[in-house]
Amino acid sequence: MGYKMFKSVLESLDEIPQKEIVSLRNFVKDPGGKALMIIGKSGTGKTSSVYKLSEEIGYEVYELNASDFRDEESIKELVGRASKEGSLFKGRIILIDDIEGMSGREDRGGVGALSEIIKESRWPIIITATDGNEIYDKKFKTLRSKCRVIKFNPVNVLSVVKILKNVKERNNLKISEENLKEVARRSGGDVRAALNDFFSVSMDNDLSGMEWRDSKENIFNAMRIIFKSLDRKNIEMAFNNLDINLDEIPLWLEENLPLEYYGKELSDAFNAMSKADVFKGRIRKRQYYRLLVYVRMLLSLGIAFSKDKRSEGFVGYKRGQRLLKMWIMKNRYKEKYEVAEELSKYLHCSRKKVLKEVLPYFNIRNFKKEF
Amino acid sequence: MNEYDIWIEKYRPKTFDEIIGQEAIVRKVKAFVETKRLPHLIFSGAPGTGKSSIALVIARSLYGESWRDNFLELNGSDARGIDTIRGEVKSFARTRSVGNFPYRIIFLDESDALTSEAQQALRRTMENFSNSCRFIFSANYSSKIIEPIQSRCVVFRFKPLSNDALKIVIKTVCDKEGLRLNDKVLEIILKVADGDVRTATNILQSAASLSKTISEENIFEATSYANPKEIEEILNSAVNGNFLKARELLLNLMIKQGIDGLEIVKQFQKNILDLNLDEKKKLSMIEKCGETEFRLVEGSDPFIQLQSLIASFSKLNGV
Repeated sequence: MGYKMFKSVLESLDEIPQKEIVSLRNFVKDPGGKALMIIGKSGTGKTSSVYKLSEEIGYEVYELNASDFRDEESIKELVGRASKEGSLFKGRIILIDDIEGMSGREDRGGVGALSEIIKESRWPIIITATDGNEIYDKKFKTLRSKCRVIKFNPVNVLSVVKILKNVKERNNLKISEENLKEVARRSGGDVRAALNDFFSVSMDNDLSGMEWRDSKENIFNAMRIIFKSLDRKNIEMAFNNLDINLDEIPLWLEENLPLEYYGKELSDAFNAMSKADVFKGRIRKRQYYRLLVYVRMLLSLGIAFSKDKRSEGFVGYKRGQRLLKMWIMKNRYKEKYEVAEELSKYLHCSRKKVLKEVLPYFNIRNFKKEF
Repeated sequence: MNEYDIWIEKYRPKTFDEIIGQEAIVRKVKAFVETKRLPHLIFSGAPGTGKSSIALVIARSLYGESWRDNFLELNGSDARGIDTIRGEVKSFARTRSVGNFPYRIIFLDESDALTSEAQQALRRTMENFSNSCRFIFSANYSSKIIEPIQSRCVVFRFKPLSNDALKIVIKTVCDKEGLRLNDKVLEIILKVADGDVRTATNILQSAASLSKTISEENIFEATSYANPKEIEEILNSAVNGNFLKARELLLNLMIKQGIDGLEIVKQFQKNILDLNLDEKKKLSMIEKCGETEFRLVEGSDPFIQLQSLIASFSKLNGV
């Protein structure tokens, strides 16, 4: 990071609360011709763990990050050289930070060049990647197959609290216990964000004006208000403090609506959602964003007033399942797609035709093995 | 000062003490500046709540008179091409700031208008120049800023100004410009501005161009807003089944006062919630407004659409 707001955030590798730290240690002892890829959300300790590890074992870190150009030539030149040479007295870890930030245009050929270097390297190569759609992209497929992949999870609240407590002590900060815990709770498992917030709070030990980093807790609250309450002012405000994409809200609502509503209520509420969706389509088509008001209103008031009386009792809400399922299906479909493309060359027909008329009679997995 | 000044610039705060509202944010940002430890910042919130103003105050406080040399303002929706942003950012960041604050500031307004690819590239630029630059992003919705950037910033949420805070701003402008207005007019300005200082100031300036004593009529003459009272009257007439009266009032607003059909629907939508009706009915009325707005955007005759809208209000209320 470019600047340090606090000293001694982490004093050793063991202070990073990720259970895969063991795999990290093992990997450096014996890379076995592979690189290590650490995938994790922002602020889960990917880069930090590499630096702490290097301190622990007395290696130096050779880092290439998003601020360096990483096209084929530079990768071959810089990483290629660094992977072969090295100091006589000091070991070396090669760190390729934020690989998903490698842009298609400027860093052309970089990923391929990297894949080739891995096998030959004298030193352990560690690649970090922010968890998101990019890293599962096709262009990283070969690279991923040359890596041992480990995952860093979002850091749980208790562990964030522990880190913040250390920071507080080591930097002599005046922040109340209560505010410290609140910063941790709001962090959404992103320690860097928590530290940024902590720095901000350390100015005056006050939390007002600051955003929630975690949108999950927020959406739960919003749903509770919409499903349970009939107080218009409250319902209108439900989405106001919500730091979540408006496209995502229906996915949460649709998952949990049937847990709260039955019969006519349920039908009316879904009708409101369906109308909201029509408005969303119109916004997209016309680029007329004023209509968002109506999307919001239908999703909040529309659903809330589908019931006649306030509902009591506790219901545990769930995360929307559709996104995950869609993602899985998309990947499965992608496989089919690739096979169809390959086959179309041999069968003298379009990919579409192969998909529709040929593939249904084959078992794709067997087919792939043969190819 | 000459009479052609734009008031929103004339009355933009120059120091932290001049900022009205956003107390908690000001307190923190001031502390960053005083300790000369400024993190990257994201200011999110509705228009006219002070995001740009606070960014400018930061620059003035850090660099004094030479703030213009150390502060680059870019607009995410104008400079959409990332190459423009990069080019400008690069040449700006290459030289370090002179003076006792070692960083220059890049202020990226409307950064939620950037595509996520542009943001990825920007993130790279951000890291590239983290030794010489601080970024301040301003956005209406912070959720449109990608996570890796958010994670590296302190995020502040700007709330619409309270009516009390807005009153202070309005009073200051009135005192300095020698304007007079009564409480009723003040209430209307507050309602129209809805927590947005820029709108409030603009209304004052355009109304003041007609007369130093600001009346209700001045406000509606100078702006494209319809008088909320008349809007309410139309709604009430429609709900009570008096279509002809509602239509006459409507035509009056549209032809005589030249108020845009879309603007009227928008005000309908805002006013309906305050009517004394069953919540579900109100909701259906609002839905109709949305439908009408959509039809208007598709390019239909506003008067026909609005007549149809008020007729549907009558029907919905069983008349």
